[in-house]
Amino acid sequence: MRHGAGALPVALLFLIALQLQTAAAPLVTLMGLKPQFVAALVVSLSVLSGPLAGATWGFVGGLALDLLSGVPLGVSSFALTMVGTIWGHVAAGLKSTGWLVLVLVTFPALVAYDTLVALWLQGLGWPLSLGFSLVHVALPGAMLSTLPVPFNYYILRWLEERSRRFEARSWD
Amino acid sequence: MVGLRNRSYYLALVLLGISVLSIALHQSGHLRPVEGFLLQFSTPVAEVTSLLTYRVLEVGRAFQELGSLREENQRLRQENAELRAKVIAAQEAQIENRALREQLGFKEANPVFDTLPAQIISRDPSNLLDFLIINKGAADGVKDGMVAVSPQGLLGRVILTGSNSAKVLLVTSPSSSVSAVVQSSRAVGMVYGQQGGRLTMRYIPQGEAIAVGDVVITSGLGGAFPKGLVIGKVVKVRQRDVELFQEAEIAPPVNVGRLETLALIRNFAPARLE
Repeated sequence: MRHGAGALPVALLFLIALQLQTAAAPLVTLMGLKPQFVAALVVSLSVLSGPLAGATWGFVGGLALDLLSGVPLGVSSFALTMVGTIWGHVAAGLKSTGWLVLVLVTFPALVAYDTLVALWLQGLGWPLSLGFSLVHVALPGAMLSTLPVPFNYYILRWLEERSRRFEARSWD
Repeated sequence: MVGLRNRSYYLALVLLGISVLSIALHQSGHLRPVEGFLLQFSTPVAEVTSLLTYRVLEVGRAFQELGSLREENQRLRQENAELRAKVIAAQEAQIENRALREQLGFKEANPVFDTLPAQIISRDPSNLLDFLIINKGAADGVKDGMVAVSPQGLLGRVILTGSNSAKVLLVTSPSSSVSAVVQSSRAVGMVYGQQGGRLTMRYIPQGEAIAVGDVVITSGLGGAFPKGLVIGKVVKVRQRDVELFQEAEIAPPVNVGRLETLALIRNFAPARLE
């Protein structure tokens, strides 16, 4: 089992990611798309800390996104829980997880997340085109959203190390 | 390891179950009060961060635009937008005047809107839909269905009201549709939001004159939006003889991503068609 980064610092990271996504990201869009900081953080956590963390933070992050967006409550939380769990299991089989591996693994995860949300919305009767969502939203959006992943990697690794040292000290 | 695997599967199943239940409750409308309450709960945090964001951006802009140039530019832009809106309103009044004369005495006053200004405190985090959250809610007299506008034209309508905040569905959202008319030719159609902040006007009858640069305004049909609000300008026309209708791509008059405030029309009540 991998060592986690600690719930409180991760919760703070989520708050920052969420606020960046809702307040700052829409002002600095690229081709009308904004980076998915929260989803990228969920995938980073699931890859670095395992499927349990992936499922939990996927649900929490997704719920927060649902509240602040116009999608029905539960859609983003479903998609991110699913992605967090699956990618956590997939990453458990990887021999190394450097930042480049994390970037490569995050890209398909974000495409899967956007596709799942689009599928749900289409199923609920929203007039969305799945093909358009995939080509014009999910793929370029995922490319844009992988940009903060190296940063996620180093900050999560640092938090993990800090949490490990703190625990070791408390055992002494 | 197997234990952890099982635990993560069980946890994921429970969380996925909760998510599906939430979706079902949302669809049935049972979650509406809870969503309104949670929206209200997130408002103070969103207000503080949006204020911080605007301040940071303002500092950046100030460096870019070198002090006085920035103010001058902003003033001229505002003046330009106001003048454009006035020209469009005047054109609309002229056309309406002609039509009214033709209809022998049918009198309808130009609507004068009583507006409630609101600050945008949060924007839709997803790339699939277009929503805004504003810092005015039921306590300020905001109601579901209220129309949101900017000096340049129509923005959207309120779809969820908390006590101190509200969610605005933008016209550019894929779930939005507005009955519209081309100002010059009076060709009617429906304007639909598209992913990526685009607008498409559909169901324009063949033979109706429509050209790039034409201004598209709300028609007032359907009763959800008042008549005469600018929706955007035609940037592309798709006309094929084998089809029943023409289509046009519309550019919204304002970049919503850059907006900081909007206004809600207080003295227009959307018609409820049962």
